[in-house]
Amino acid sequence: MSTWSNPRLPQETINVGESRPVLSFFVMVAGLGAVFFACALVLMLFAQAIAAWLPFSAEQAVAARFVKPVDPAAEPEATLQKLADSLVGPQGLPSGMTLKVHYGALPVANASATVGGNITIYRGLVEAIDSENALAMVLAHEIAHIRHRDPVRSLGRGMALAVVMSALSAGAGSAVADWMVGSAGNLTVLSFSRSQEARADADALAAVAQRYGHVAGAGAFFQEMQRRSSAAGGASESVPVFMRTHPSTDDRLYRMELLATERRWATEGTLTPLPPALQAIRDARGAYGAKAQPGG
Amino acid sequence: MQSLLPFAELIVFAVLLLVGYVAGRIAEKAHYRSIRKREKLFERVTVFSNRFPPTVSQPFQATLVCGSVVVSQDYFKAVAAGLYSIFGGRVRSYESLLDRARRESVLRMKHAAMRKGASMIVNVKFQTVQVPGSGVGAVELLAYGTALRPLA
Repeated sequence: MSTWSNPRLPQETINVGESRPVLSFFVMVAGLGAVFFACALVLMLFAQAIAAWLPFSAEQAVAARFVKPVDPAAEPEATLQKLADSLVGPQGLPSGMTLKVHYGALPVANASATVGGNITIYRGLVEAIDSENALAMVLAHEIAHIRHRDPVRSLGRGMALAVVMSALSAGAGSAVADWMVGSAGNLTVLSFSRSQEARADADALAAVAQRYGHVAGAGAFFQEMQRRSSAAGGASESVPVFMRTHPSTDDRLYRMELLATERRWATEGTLTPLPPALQAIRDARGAYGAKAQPGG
Repeated sequence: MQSLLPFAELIVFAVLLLVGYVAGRIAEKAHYRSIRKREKLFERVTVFSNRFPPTVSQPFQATLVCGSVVVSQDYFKAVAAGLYSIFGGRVRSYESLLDRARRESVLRMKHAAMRKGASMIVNVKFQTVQVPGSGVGAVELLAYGTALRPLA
């Protein structure tokens, strides 16, 4: 019986090789993540492209869920609305498209365009400018975004992201969706691409040139933001919100100048003073604004 | 804390993955230690896949002996296997698991043979079956053979 024996198995058998389970796990997860990311990107770009075909009435229906209606008689909304309507130009807006200008009594020096043709001008912005021309530039910029359906494109992109995220986790997906069209109305944070911003700037400058016959003072708000930003010394807390949501101001001013030269728009002209309703807001600032907001 | 709520699923997933990995690793190390120890212990019980003993020089009493193990994968192994099922390749996470199960089943079979006073098992075969309805995927590994007990 003792003639036979079984060999002792080595420590590492042929069946169990050297393996790095965690490493191979992460390599595979990274691979899968890359594929997932690529799919998400394609889906987002696709959604962004098709969103522009959505009828404007659908956009308005979405906006109606969280945008408060404007009292047409209230000031300064009425003044802002009148100014916006005058900037649309003779070619008008595409059929069915409407503009609603809101006034936000927040100290942020910013303006936003969101779905349904809703534009918001914040108190901080009105306080930062001293002519109607500068305000017109900002308003026309936001109108251009709406004309090009930029907000709904961003919303489509965000929704595609929400769908992709929900494939990963239902909770994360609805969190993204909520963030996009939540009751908080976070639609104001819709971001636009550099090319969308550049196009809006070009359109806005053309609208200002058409309205006033010159582009003097159009860049005043951007210059003011640039001044505040450099005064803040790059401390992110005090850099105006506008600077964080829009492309480099240097670039914009340079491109505006270039465009004005190209199109032979007059860069000198008489500035139109702010309408009384807006001048009143600026005057009210004097009481506390200068001290309370040194950096903007 | 509230902002983490939407990602609860992902957090649970990550925790399960970590628990599965750590527990699986500890269990595997301990199991291999025990396997190596018992393989030395049961060394004198020899196993052969031949149908008949190499040389029939003395009378034997033959009995059926078997050893069975049911093993389950851990969460980490399951997820890793899911990834292998996309990318292909050696499912390394299962190789060690099934190697342990195979060796453990042989050890249990040897143990059964020793109790019967046998010193040799011939005609050894393996059978694997997936335990039905086990959500995470458990397999039974059965080793069986003919234990030969020399008659005086």
